[in-house]
Amino acid sequence: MKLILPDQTERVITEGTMLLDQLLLAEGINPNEVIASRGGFLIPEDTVIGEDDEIRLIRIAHGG
Amino acid sequence: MVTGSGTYGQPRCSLCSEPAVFFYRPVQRHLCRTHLFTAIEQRVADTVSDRNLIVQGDTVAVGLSGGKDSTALMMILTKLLPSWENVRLVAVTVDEGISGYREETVRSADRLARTLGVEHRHVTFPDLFGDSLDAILRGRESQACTICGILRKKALASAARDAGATKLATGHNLDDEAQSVLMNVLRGDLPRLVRDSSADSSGRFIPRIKPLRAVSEKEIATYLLLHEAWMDLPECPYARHALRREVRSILTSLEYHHPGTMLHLMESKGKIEKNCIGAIATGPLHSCRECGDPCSGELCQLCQLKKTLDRELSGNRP
Repeated sequence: MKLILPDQTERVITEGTMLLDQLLLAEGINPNEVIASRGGFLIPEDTVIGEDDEIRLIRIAHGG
Repeated sequence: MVTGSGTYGQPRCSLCSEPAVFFYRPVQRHLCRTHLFTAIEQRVADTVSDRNLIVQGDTVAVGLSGGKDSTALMMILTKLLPSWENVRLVAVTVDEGISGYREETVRSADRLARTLGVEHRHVTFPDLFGDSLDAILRGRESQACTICGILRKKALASAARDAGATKLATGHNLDDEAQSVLMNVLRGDLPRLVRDSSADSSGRFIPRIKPLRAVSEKEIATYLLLHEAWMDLPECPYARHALRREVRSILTSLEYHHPGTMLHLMESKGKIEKNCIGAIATGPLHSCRECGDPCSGELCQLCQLKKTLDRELSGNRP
């Protein structure tokens, strides 16, 4: 699966099916600090994601 | 941003069969787009009603920076407006003069106020204090948040007063409020912890209200994304408030591993307020000996700041 980070860099993940929040935590990302979408659709962090998925992250916390 | 249906592995709304877009972890509830909107708007309505934040005949000045929190606040208050009798909303935007940052959010605020059909007033630091924040801060960047906070507070109060407002609403959300509670505890600042800025001021200042205080930052961002009102705005270049950043990181982590942490902090603050107010010396309200504004000491924060900066903040004082 492909993970597109808030800074637009991409990570290819070779793990199989997993929960989105497990993936985020493994990548060092707190699920409360981002919103995820798959194919343009917002998904909660306990969504099961598969090998062919492309997950895009939006960072929500900004200072100021 | 859109929401779809029948997507593989996506949980369903706990209240209907639509795909969930949000997981409200404090009560382990999945919500679809429609039920998320209802939940957020109802929570704001309950906050306003339970705390008597807006009453009949109020003119509410909404601090509209154009950032995500104030944008959501403006949208939700506009939606709730018909449920309140004889209440008027006025948007007020403060342009501090932060190059490369504020221009975009002010444009966003202008667009939103136009779209919602809300009266919109602007004030600028150069008009009020004689210079932009960038100029005032030159050589004092490490004090940015403190200085900007004092000046913004005065600027908002000035704009609200000019608009004839009886309340000043700001977009502080649950995360902001929980961070402030923890910061005040860490600093040992109990008077500030129990201070209630929404309390009746007997006309000496405009009470400040925070209708989003029970809505998390993530809920607000999701609400805006689903309304296609999200803008990935730049971060304030001066946002280097070390303690708040650290507290934010700690609380966000605690909230994920122990859902409801922020709500519990707010509940604790409420209990402390109820039981300790009067026992903690907050001091009577004085009039600033320089400008006459209400304050807790001899000088208001702005007049203290003027002395500290050792410079003339000329222009039309609020």
